[in-house]
Amino acid sequence: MSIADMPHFSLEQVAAGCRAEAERSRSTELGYCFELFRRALEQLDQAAWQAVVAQYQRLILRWLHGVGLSTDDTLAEDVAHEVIERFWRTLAGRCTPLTARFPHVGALLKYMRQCAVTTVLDRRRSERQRERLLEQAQHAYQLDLPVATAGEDDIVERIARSEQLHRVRAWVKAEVGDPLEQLVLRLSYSDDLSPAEIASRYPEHFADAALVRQIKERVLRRARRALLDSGTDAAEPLSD
Amino acid sequence: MTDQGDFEHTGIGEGDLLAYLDGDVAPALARHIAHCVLCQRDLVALTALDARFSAALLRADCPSAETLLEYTASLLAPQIARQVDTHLAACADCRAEFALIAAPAALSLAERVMQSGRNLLRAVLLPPPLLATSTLRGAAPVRHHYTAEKYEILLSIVPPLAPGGTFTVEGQLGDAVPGEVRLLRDELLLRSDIIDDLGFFAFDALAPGVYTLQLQLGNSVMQVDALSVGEA
Ligand SMILES: [Zn+2]
Ligand SMILES: [Zn+2]
Repeated sequence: MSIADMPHFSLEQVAAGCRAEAERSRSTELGYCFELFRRALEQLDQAAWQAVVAQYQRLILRWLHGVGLSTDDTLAEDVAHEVIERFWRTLAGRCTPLTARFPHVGALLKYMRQCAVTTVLDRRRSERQRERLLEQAQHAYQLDLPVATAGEDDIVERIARSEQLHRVRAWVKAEVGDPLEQLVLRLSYSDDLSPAEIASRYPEHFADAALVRQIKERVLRRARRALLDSGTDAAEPLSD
Repeated sequence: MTDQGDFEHTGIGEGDLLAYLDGDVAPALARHIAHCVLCQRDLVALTALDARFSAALLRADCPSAETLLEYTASLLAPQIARQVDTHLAACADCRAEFALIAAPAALSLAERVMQSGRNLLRAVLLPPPLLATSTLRGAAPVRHHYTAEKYEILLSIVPPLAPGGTFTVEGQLGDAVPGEVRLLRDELLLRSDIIDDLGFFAFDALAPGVYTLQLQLGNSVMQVDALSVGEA
């Protein structure tokens, strides 16, 4: 049997051949498994893609477990689904012939595993955003501001889920053109520095922390008019 | 708003509220802000925005994790790949993520079993019976009792008859199930045997070392890890 004969085989033959091949761990071959991937990703054959998913889902779950993802079964299955989607989205119809980028099935599985790592990294990024929202909510709570009445987790969840973060980013891109303002925003929010730290690191720009706060507050007040007072969903302050 | 300290509300300037949040204002100003309804309302809005900025601008300039993935796999257009190059040189967060994605990913033995679509069952070693082999000396076989889900297996490691000779590993399944047994070392397949009608299998002429056994039973693979043969 050679790769040249494969296109004439039935999907059942190829899928069964792939299962047998995988047991013998012949990951460097251009065999049945590779043919399964080729039909799915080059020819966009849905049935072949389903066979790929059936064959490799368990392996993906195991990888996810290996990188310390929660053992909660439904969560892991959701994440595994995201991994498979990402593999499909980034490869389907994009690499023809598939052999040009992936010389054997081992290379495809390596990429699939990299998709799993990427998906976990995405989750970590969102977790960090949530942590930041939570920290700020707790800070406000400590100051006894009339906020956080609905419970901090709810608020954080609501903001993190909504389109509000995208709106903030778009507003900054469009409305913050002043280089000093841009610098203050980057140092404050991207690098997480306090006004005092910013003033001490960039004395050539900022005489003291008060000046940094002045610039920061000016930007926030402008943003407030644009983002919070616009009468949409984003108009709710942290309290409601 | 009667008791607002020595400040009129109109005296509150840019930066004062943030300074208050940082605990960095004069006591008179702090008293005003703490008791002024307008200032409190401003503060709520500012902290809400501050939180949103903080979350939204976190790594706002970073490429998405998926872009890093595509960069790793050379799937990006050259021009975008160059932008990622430049960004990676300047961003430690992305460098760390890139390293995680690009890390060489050789499949482990267990992963190769999973890859076949079978269940991997890890065999668990049961404690020895009370009259343990510790009282026996010399050329007595060492016995291990393993279990994994519904399967039980007894392994005997038979020492050589003379010093410097080879070992034999004999196994018996609690219930005879047709299947194949593989003996591996350092993740490489050494030999395989068929489980006979009575559930027995054996591997002879083994050098001392640490082995792995895989029993293919129906749709499951029962794996015995770190089987020590002739080593303490
Ligand atoms: Zn006031
Ligand atoms: Zn970055």
